[in-house]
Amino acid sequence: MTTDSERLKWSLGRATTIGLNTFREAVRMKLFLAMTALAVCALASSFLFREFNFGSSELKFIADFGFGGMTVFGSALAVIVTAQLFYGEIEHRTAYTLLAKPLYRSEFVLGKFFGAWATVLCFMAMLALCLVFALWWRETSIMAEFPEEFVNGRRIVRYGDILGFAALQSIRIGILCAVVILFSTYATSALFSMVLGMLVWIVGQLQHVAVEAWATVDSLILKGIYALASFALPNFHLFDVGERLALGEALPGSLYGKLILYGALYGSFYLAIACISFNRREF
Amino acid sequence: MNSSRKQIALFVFAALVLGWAVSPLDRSIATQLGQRSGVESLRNLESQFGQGLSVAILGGYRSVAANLVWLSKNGDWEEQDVAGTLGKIALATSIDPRPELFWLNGARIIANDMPTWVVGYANTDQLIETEEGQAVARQYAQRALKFLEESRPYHGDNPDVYLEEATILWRKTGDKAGAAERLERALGTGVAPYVIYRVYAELLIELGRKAEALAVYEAHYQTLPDNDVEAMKFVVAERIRRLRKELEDSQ
Repeated sequence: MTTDSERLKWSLGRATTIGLNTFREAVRMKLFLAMTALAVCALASSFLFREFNFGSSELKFIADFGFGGMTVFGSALAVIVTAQLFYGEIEHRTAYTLLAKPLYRSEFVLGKFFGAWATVLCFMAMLALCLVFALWWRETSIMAEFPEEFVNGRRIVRYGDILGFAALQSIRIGILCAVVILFSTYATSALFSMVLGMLVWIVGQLQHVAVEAWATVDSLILKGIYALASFALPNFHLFDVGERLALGEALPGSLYGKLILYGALYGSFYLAIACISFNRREF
Repeated sequence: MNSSRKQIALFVFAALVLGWAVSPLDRSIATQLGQRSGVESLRNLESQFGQGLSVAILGGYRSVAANLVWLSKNGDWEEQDVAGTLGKIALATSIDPRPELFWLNGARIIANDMPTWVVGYANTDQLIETEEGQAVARQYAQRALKFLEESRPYHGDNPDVYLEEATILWRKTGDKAGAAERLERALGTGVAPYVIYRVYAELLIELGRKAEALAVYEAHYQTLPDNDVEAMKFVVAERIRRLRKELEDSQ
């Protein structure tokens, strides 16, 4: 019989160890490197596509390209890497060896989550720095060419806000990682988790449309479906702040606070459910 | 119900409760961001370009997608396809309403090109000479004005949009008073280019409000720099001199 003093205590250290190992494993994945290279190439291609830009200024156009790369490639990477890293452990039976050791399953879940999230954060940081460099380089050339366009020689681009955008996208992607972890605790294949993760990403992105449509449709069944989509899934559209930033507007601090709170609420909720679900899973 | 299904049902219920609890925060963020309804733009997208493009927009490649739509609009424009051109202009501005070029060029296409497509290039004189032709011109002018009206949330303080509206009202519908009102709004933005002051004053002269026009010219003259060609200070000075003379002669 075990006493309270003998009982294994929940350890952040063990979760961190799993997280670090997950991160190391993830950054060595070819997929991570390929996705990073692809995103950087997409950003670089904005310099070619600027010839096809009719409307916004060149700097806004480059910023749009960078923001698009962060959200699209970041979300895709989050879904694929998280499913691979979590379900891969179960598929290759390495999880059995780990779980046979004195380790709580919730430590395993949280470790995997933070490892996968850190990988995507690393990707976002690299892309954000590339975007900042691309904008800074181009703005410097434009400043040399048209100094009269810059009042008192001041730069137009708010570089801090670009990093702020990357931070907000990281929160969005954190929620997505948590959702994929939750599906992986139930899943019978990594593909299943990926497909469901992609669906949540798209539906979450369209969630605001469901809210609008809910008020306009007459059918009770459709109303029910829209209500379910409106309440049961996070609204990823709230994190689309790139439009405001590209317009040169600064985001108020309170908005950052609210989005962090929103992300923390949803992320911790999905992780809590994932821990409960994984605890009940039979191997 | 077995325990696994019961568990899933409980999780879904908990997710709904969380969504309901978080909805005030959701609304507050959306309001602070000024996010607009995506229903209309998505409906247009799915019908015209398929899901690939909508995912691109969702991902944030807004300006790229809007530029591609604008490019593809040129094909419809060349074929003088009224419905296709109108649809793509609306779609481009719906995807990315920020570039003023989409609004100004779009309005010019609607007000100037489309009436000639309707009556045919060989019959463009009908747009001025016959009542039917004038009705067609007025109809498309109204459509262009309505289109520009939609740009207000994004370009409410852009004098070029007001100038475009004034030009359409003046040249296409003959509503000079309406045009003058739009030019006043353009001047009210505080960033109107010099030309708008001159156009406004000339319009006031056409409306028979010469004293007002003189006042506008005189006030404007005080603000003009000496060494800016665009300011056309000498032209303004000449107009003031002639207007003063005309007003003196008429008394």
